[in-house]
Amino acid sequence: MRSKYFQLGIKGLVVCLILVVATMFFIPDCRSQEVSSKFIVIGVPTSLGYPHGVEGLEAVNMAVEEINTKGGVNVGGVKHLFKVYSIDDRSATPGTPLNDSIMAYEKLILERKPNVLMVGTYRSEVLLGAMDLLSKHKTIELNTIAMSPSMEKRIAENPQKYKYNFRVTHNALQMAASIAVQGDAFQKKFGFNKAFIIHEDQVWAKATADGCEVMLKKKGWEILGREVVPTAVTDYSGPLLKARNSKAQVIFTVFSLPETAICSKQYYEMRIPAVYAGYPSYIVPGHLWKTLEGKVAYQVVTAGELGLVPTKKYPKSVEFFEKFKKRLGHWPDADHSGASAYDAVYIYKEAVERAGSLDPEKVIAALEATDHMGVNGREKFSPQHQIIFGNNPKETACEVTFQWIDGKRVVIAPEAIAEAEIQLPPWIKK
Amino acid sequence: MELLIYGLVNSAILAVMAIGLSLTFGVSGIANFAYGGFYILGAYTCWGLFTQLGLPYLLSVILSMAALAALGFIFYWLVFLRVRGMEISEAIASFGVGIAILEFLRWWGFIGFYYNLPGFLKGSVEIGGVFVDCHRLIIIGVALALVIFLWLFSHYTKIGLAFRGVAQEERTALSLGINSDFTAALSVAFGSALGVLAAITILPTGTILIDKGYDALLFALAVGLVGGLESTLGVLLASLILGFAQTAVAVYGATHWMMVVTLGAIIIVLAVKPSGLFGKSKELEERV
Repeated sequence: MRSKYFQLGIKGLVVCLILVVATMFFIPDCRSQEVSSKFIVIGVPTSLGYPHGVEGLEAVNMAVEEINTKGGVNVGGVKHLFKVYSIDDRSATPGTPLNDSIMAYEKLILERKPNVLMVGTYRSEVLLGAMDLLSKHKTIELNTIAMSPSMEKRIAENPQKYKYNFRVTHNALQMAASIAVQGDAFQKKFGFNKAFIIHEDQVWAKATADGCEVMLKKKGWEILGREVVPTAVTDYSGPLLKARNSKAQVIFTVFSLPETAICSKQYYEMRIPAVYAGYPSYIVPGHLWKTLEGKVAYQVVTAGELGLVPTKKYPKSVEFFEKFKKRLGHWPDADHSGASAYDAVYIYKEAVERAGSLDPEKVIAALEATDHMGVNGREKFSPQHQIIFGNNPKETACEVTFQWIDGKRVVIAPEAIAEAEIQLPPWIKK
Repeated sequence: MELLIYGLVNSAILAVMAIGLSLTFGVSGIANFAYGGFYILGAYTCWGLFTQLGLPYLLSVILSMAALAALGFIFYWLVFLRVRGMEISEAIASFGVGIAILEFLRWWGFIGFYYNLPGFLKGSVEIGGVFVDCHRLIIIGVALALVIFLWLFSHYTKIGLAFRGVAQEERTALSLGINSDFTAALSVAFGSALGVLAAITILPTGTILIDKGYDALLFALAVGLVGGLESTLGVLLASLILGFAQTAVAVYGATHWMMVVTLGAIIIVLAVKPSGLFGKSKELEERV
């Protein structure tokens, strides 16, 4: 009896071993270890508990799947597939030390040896801190979240050292310029010239507000006041009442924190007789009308990426948006990062194919010569590695300004893609 | 008028936020640092019952309060009972549980701007030339009703009297037949339910966000430190001081200094009266 069980056991063991070996052979992950030299590794160090990071990573994965399905990237005649690794740098989580986020970058670089990093950190402070690290490891990054123009300044000061950094989304100054374009629309249609600025207490927000103030003044606007709102505030009546009492005609806001949705609602409920505009980025998502019970009516906002507020006047944006929304299973939440992360993968692919090599030096030279028709418009890098934004997607990448009307995002600027003219809320008399 | 209306609203928000934490500390002597976690978990529970299961809103509110009260009760027996009396361990354990709840929700995918609770009343009214939304006026009503209810509850119900007995002298309460552990567990449950009520009252002014859990704990602690964590009257007074000070700074000074007012008040009170305006713990300790 014992020997019968023994034989059965041996047979079972052999069958199990065969199954294990067969499984290892057929699982793509295990096979991939053997041919990893034919993979191009994309590292995504970003905040994976926040919309810009999550959606940036999803957009990268979507582009990667599309490219891999079509056979991959042609590197000097050899086909390579993309492979993506991510790490949570927790830079968006309040209280995370700067160094912890930079360490996440280093961990990803050392463990996965990526050819390129994409999406990147939330905080400009981390982006700037990681520039030395990228230079040390000769790793290229195509960043799509952090917006401080200090990156370009550092590249201009030391191009040889900091040539590894590129930004595919907008920066704070470009956002300020777009807010000034909003000002043009108000001036042209209603003759407004009195503004009040409210912004959150963040480095990039201050830079945007500074730029916005300078540009608006140049265009003949009178800035009647400026308020900085600290984080964690639950009541915005103070700055809103100040704006009302100053007799401002337009309130230009610069907000990114989700909690600032309170300000939008409170503005609506307080019937402040000035148009709510600027860059309150949390009201960009298409479902916000429903979430905030219509209390974003007539509010004007510039979204960072055309691909996330699509218009039929630029069909590529609509095509991307529909695919992306289907993949996420809901409306995108982030105002930027998704569309630019998708474009970043194609920009890198084309650069590698032009370079015919994965050598960072050759790829950087190819990236600098980028001319890509992406979902955000025509994308070219400035000498300081910033995608150039303008007012026509056929010529440059394009931000888009829309107004919430009857539950829809109606594009009102720039003129090349505008669908309607700006409107005043019914409680404001011209 | 601007200062009066929005000062009152701001004070009411702070009071509603802090009362649950104050109640737990006042009875069981435990500063429940998991309060922020319960606050947000309750809000998401209510959102899920209302929007995903389609239950009536009032029923969703009641069920979420009951669920979080049950969780608070279990939490006491599983965590607090083991570390009770060791202040540092209590703080670390409860803070850890709070972070675990909030970060678990983040990991689970509760990110983005989809989550919102409806206000109790829609529309705005004009009072003395200032528009204020009806929901904010309701918050003032909720704060007042909560204070009155808690006073009546702690003075005229058996459980409330047991709460006060344990808060005043636990050993004497034990000798009178009050089960102090059961009473303390009830206070954690009660405090958790009040946390949910606070979330349901306050969060409709914006949206439900995980990070608001951290903010709720911070504000509740600030109010507790200024007023005295174990005193409901202290919490009420501190809310009025901080609420009006914040609004006055925002309306007549610079909004940027709103948070500095809160921190400044904490520093002054800690330096002058470490137990808070109506707190007794430090004085009692020194007397002993």
